[in-house]
Amino acid sequence: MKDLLFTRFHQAINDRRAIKHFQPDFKIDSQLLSEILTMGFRVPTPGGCNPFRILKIEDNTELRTQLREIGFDQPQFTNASTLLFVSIDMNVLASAYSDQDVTDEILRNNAMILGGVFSQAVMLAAAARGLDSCPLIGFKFQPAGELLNKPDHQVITNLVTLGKRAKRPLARGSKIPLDELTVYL
Amino acid sequence: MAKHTIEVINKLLTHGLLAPSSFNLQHWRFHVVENPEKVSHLFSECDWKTTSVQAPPESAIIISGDYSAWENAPEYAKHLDPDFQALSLKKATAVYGTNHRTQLDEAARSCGFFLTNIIFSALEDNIGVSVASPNNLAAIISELNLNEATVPLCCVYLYSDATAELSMPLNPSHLDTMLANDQW
Repeated sequence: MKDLLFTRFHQAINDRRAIKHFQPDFKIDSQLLSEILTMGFRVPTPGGCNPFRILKIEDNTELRTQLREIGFDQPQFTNASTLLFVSIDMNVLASAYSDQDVTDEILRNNAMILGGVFSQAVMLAAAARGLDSCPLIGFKFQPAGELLNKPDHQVITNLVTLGKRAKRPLARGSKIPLDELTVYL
Repeated sequence: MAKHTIEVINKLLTHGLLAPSSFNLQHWRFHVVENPEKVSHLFSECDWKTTSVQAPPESAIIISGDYSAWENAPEYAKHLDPDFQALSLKKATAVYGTNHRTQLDEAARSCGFFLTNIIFSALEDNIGVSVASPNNLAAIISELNLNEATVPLCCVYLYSDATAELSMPLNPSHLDTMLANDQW
């Protein structure tokens, strides 16, 4: 069965905004969260490898408080329903190119791209279900990795917070016109 | 003749522009390659790495990241009040000003957000997509005449034959490996 995202795509890409303030008492239903995560795990990856290593935090208030301290006291850490730390297993990703020479720089770029692809799929799937989200890099990555017991071969790309908005977002940012970004060959 | 018109490709790109980017910096830059000869040339000469595609695509969108985008932070925050613009530049400079790898990371991550919108938009329009990774950066930079602050990140191949759903099957047994709670 097709995910809701495929029938509500236009609504989802237009409704998805980076929400900074979430309703602290709102909790995402576990079945709904499972559907949302499934969309993330189904995005195309090199060679169909499964490089995503996602850490989900919901009820651990002590951990959330510690993360907020290394996250510049941003309220999402404690108020969003779900925190998803997105990371890539670099060994798994490298194995997808095992028969080819790929530089460390390109491998790192690809990890960041994949983290972004996963995150946006999750955020769109959430938006298709009337939920809100925010991609976040505003935290200290190394202390966060230590706090979360991140293995060395994993690279955290970003955090995604999920929940229900408590405040309207700011006006959508001005967009660079497409013709200033594009060269047609 | 290319199967995808500029209007169709621009629709994909316009959907991509609705993706988020840090400080609204919009690091993404595009080269749309519709000329079949150029598509074929890029496919064969620039050594894009792909694990699934054997045939040259009919059209292609090369997505590059401008890792100097943070220098124009006030420009991208001009819809906000002047105080916020100044704060935006201060924060963007603190985050990106001194660390090249951080700049590259954000450019690549933003392009990943963008890429997802393109993939889903293409699926909705029954356009087949495949994503290739650059290998010979120098050849691509030379071919596209990119400036020194712009790095090619990926190439989206477009085909007429589409799969109606995402092609990536999800093996439930992989979920335990990919998803952890509270601690890795």
